[in-house]
Amino acid sequence: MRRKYRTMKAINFKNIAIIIIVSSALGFIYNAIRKDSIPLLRVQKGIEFIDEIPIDEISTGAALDLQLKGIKLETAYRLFLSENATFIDARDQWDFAEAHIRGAINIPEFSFDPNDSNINDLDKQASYIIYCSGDDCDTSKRLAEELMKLNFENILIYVGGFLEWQSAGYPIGFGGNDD
Amino acid sequence: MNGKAPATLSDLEGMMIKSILNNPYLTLLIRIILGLVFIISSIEKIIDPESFAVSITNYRIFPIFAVNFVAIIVPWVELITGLFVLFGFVIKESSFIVNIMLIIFIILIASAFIRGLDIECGCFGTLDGQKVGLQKIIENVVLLILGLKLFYQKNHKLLLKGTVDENS
Repeated sequence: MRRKYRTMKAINFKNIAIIIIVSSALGFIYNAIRKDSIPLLRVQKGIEFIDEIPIDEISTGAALDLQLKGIKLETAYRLFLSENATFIDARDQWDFAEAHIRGAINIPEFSFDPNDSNINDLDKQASYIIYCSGDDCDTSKRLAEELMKLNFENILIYVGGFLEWQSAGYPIGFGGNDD
Repeated sequence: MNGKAPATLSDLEGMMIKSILNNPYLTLLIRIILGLVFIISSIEKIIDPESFAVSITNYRIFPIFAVNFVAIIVPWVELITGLFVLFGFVIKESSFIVNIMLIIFIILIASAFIRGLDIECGCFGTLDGQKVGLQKIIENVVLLILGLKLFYQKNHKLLLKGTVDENS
C-alpha cells in the first residue's frame, strides 16, 4: 500500500497533461500545414443497396453523391451471368493471382495511380462492380471513389467480396490479369 | 533473508536475478527498445494518416466522425512519448502514458481478434501489414511488461530529466 502511494505520488499528472496536449497540438498543426491533410471530422460514404432496382436502370449518378451504390451476392451473380458489367478486384495482385471472381480485372487500390493508362483506357460509360476480400475491407469503397473522380459513371460495390463469392461456389479464376 | 548471507544455491540465483533485473543498464536497454518501437511505429502513421484512419475504422469501435481525431493525435503522442522514453525525459510520466496506450492497444486488438475481424493491425501504420491476432497481442503484452518495468524502476542511467529521483 505504501509502495503504491509512493508510486502515485511520484507521477506528476500535470506533466502527463502537458505531454498529451503538446502532442495533440503538434498533430493538429502538422495536419493543418501538410498538403495531404485529412479532415478533422471523418465522413464516410455510406453504401446504399440497390438490389431492388432493375439492372438496366442502375446508374451511380454524380461522383459527389454521398452514397456509394452497393449490391449483394445474388445481384452480383445476376450481373456476372448477364455479362453486362466488369468485375474489378481491388485487392493486391498476390491475392488476385491466388483466386478471383472469374473474368475480373485487377486494380490494386493500394497502388492506385490515377494516371495509369490501363485504367484510363477502360470504357468510362461501362458498368463496373468493385469488390475486395469481404465486407470488412474498405479498399473497394476507396477504389470506387477514386474511379468516380476519374468520371467513371457506373460503379457498383459488391459488398460481400471475394470470400462470400467463393463460399457460394460461384465461378472463380486463377492467375494474373489475362483470363 | 534479511541481509544474511545466501544459504542455498537457489537464494544465490534469486539474488543474481534480482540484481540483473535492477541493473540500470537493463532499464536503459528497455528504454531504447520501447522508445524506438514507439518512434518507428509513429512515423509511418504520421506520414500516412489516411491509411491509419482506415485501420482505425476497421476496428469498428470508434464512431466514424472521431476516427480522424484519433489518427491525428495518437501518432504524435506515440512519437513524443517514444522520444521522451528513449532520452529519459520525465520518464515516469512518459512510461505511464506508454503503458496506458499499450493497454488500450491490447484491448483493441483482442476485441478485434475475439470478434473474428480479419483486419490489419495498423500497429506500425501500413509498414508491417500484419493482421490482428494472437501474435500481435503477445508482442504488445511483452512491450507492456517492459513498460511496467520502466515505470516501477527507481534507478535510471542517462536520464535527461526524471521526476522519479526528484520527488522520491
